Amino acid sequence: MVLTGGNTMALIKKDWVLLLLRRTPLDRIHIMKALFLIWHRSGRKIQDYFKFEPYLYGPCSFEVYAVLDNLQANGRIIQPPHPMPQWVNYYLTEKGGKEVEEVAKKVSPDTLKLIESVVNEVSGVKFYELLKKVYDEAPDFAVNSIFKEVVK
Amino acid sequence: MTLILVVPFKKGAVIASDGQVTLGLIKTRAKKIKKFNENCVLSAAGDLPFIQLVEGDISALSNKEEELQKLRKDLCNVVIECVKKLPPSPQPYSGSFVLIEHKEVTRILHVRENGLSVMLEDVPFATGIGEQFAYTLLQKYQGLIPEKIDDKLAAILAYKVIAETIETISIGVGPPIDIWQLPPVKNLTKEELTGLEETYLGLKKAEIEMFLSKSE
Repeated sequence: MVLTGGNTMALIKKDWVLLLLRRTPLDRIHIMKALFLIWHRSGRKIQDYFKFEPYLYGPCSFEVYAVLDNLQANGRIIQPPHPMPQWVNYYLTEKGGKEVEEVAKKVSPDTLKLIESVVNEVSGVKFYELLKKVYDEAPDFAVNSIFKEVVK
Repeated sequence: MTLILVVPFKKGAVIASDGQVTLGLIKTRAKKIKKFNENCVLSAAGDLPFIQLVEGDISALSNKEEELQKLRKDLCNVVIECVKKLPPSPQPYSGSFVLIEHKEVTRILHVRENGLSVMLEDVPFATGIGEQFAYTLLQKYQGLIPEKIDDKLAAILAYKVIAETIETISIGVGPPIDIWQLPPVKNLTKEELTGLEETYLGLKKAEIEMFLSKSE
C-alpha cells in the first residue's frame, strides 16, 4: 500500500500520533514502532512524515519525542502518574479525542485501515516480540540495534 | 552531590552527569557539564560555592584554549587559590574538578580540592557520590573501552550507568541526566536523550523478559 494520494497528504505529524491513539492507548516504544511500520508498509513514501534512522533500538525518529511532548503540553494526550512514566500508555484527552475525529474525516479509508491494522498488531506485544517483528520486516533499520542479536 | 562519568570511545568521549543540585534541604536541577573551550568540557562535584568559584576563575584563564597538559599546573593553582578565598568552614570544602578533551586520545584531568591532580588517558572514569557503584557497573565493559565501542554505544553505556546509580542511591544524585560528546564539543539534545532513555528502558525490559522466558 502506498499512501501517496487522496487527503492523507494533508496530515501533519501530530495527526498520525493522534490517529494511533484513537484506536488504543500506547506507550512510547509502541508508538514509535507503529509509526515506523505505517511508513514502511506504505512503501516508505508518506509526504511530510517522520524521518526514521537506524538507531540503538532499531528505527527511531527523534521528532516523535518532540511531537509527544507538544501534544502532552497542549492537553491533547495524557499519561497517568507513574514512577516510570516512560512505560505508561498515552491516552487521548477529551480535547485530543475531538480533534482526532476531525482529523479522521480527512483521511482515506485505506489509511485508516492501515493505521488500525498496525495498531492492532503492535498493541500488547512485548518488547522483544515488537522488535523482532520490526527487524524481520525492515532489517536495514536494525543495523545499529544493540538488540539485534538477542531478538533473532 | 553529583556523579560525573566519562566513557571514551574509538574516536572521542562521552561525558555524562546527573542533574540534581542539593541546596540544604532543597533539591533542584542544574546542568553540571559545561563547555570549557572548543575541544574540552568541564564538570565538577562537591560544594556548590567552591565549584562556582573555581569554574569562574578557570574560565577566566587567558590561556584556556591550550591543551590540558599545558594547562594542568594553572588549573591546579586556581583550585588551590580558590580554597584560600573561601570563608573558614568547620569542615574542609569538597571539590572534584574534571576536564576532558580528545586529541587522538581522550585525556581526563582530575583535580582535587587540595590541588592534587591526575591525568588519565582512554580509560573510563567516574567521580562524585556513587563513583564506586558506577565503576562496578562499568566493570564488565572495561575490555571494550575505547576501541570496540562507537559514540552511540558509549552514550547508552554512560546513560545506563548514571540511570542505574540514580535509581539505586537514595540521596545526592537525581534526574535529569545530561550527556555531552566530543570532538567536537556537543551537548546531546532533549530528543537524543529521550532516545537513550528509551534504549535504556528497552535494555531493562529485554533483560526481564529474557530472565522470565524460561518460565513461560
